[in-house]
Amino acid sequence: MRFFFRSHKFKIISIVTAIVLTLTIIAWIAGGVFAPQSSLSGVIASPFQKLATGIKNGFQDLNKKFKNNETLIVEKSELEEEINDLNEKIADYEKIKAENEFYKDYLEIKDQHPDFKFKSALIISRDSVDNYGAFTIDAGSVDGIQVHDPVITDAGLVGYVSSVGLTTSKVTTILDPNISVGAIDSRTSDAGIIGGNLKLAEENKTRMYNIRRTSSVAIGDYIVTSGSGVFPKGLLIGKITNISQEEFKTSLYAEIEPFVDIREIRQVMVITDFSGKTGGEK
Amino acid sequence: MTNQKNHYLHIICYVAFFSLLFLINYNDLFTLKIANASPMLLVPAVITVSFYYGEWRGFFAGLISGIFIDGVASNIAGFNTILLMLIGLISGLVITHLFNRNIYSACVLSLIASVIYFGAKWLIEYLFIGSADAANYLLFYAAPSAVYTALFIIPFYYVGILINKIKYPQ
Repeated sequence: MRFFFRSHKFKIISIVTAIVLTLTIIAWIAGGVFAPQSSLSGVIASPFQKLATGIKNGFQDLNKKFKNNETLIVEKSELEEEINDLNEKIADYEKIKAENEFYKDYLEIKDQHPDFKFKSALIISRDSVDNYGAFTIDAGSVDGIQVHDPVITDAGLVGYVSSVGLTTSKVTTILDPNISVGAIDSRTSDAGIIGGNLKLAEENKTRMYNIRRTSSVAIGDYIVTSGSGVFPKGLLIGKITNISQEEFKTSLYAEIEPFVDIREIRQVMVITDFSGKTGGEK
Repeated sequence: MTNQKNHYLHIICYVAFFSLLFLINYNDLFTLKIANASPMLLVPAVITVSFYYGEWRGFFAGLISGIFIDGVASNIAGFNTILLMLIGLISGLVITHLFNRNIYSACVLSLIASVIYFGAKWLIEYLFIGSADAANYLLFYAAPSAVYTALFIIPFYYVGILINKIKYPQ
């Protein structure tokens, strides 16, 4: 083995390791950005991931259709027409129609918040080893995405952009314990912080903690963002399903069921700018 | 000419193998999760390369797969790159100089590598930041995931034999 440590191979391995470590440390110091080598690999891999995601979504849709017996007869005749009229224009038409329906939902949010600037993005990858539903979207710095940009659907807040590459970005969801979103009860205006834990994340829930003991929050109350500067005010988060005391009984925490099913969504909107936006540390 | 063709075909097979595992792990093509245990398929895959080809190719297999994983995984920047390339390097050195090349050695290496991977994840993402879930994650998520991940070396060992037959048909 000592010959290995004197060989050219070991020198090359050492140089490559040093380069990788240097680039990684630069990314750590910069914060919220991909290491350069991963940013480049994201550019290469994202088209294949989009293709795989499209195939997976297609199989899932097909599976759902076959499970619903009542619509099967109607679906059969529609499918027969489509098979006879198999061409690219139909595929384009379906795609444009789906995009229009998607954007209609966001028109309501835009009407309520005319200062919001949106960028739509497709979810192209999910980390199966992550327990909090983190995912990757097909929009990056070239699309104007920045670290800490809020990520939403028409149903409510999903999370925020935690790191940005050239053409892809990673999103940390509201199920993550480290997210720390300022939130308030829309009925009582009691404030708290959103941050999940492992057990609740398995149930697709999160929690709001640091609620003062004398608050009057109740099960069924809606929770919205408080407008900390990183997140705009008034974004729907979820509703309270349970209220308990913290470990040392100094405050309360509430279990929140998000309005968004984080593990099932396929497309999101990133709020790239809004009135009152600040940077903020996470 | 046939040898060169077999050599390139052999490389393409490994690229396709790693690409498929990457898509399974990070695109939910189908779920492999059992209860709280989620496998990290690229760890036994890198072990497979270092097992058959030594530390040099194991190192680069870990490096390249780690770079691609870091583009999509939720870990800190460089986590997978550094871990996988070191796993590839060290397991290659161990199998070359210490162990015999058989399935039992592969299983032991895979288990050690999986424990290192999930142990590092636990240390960096839970213990060092003082997470209240640290003990819970270690006992009910990391440990089962490490064992589950290690088991995948058994089919990958035979996949390695199959792909080797392309390069060495005799």
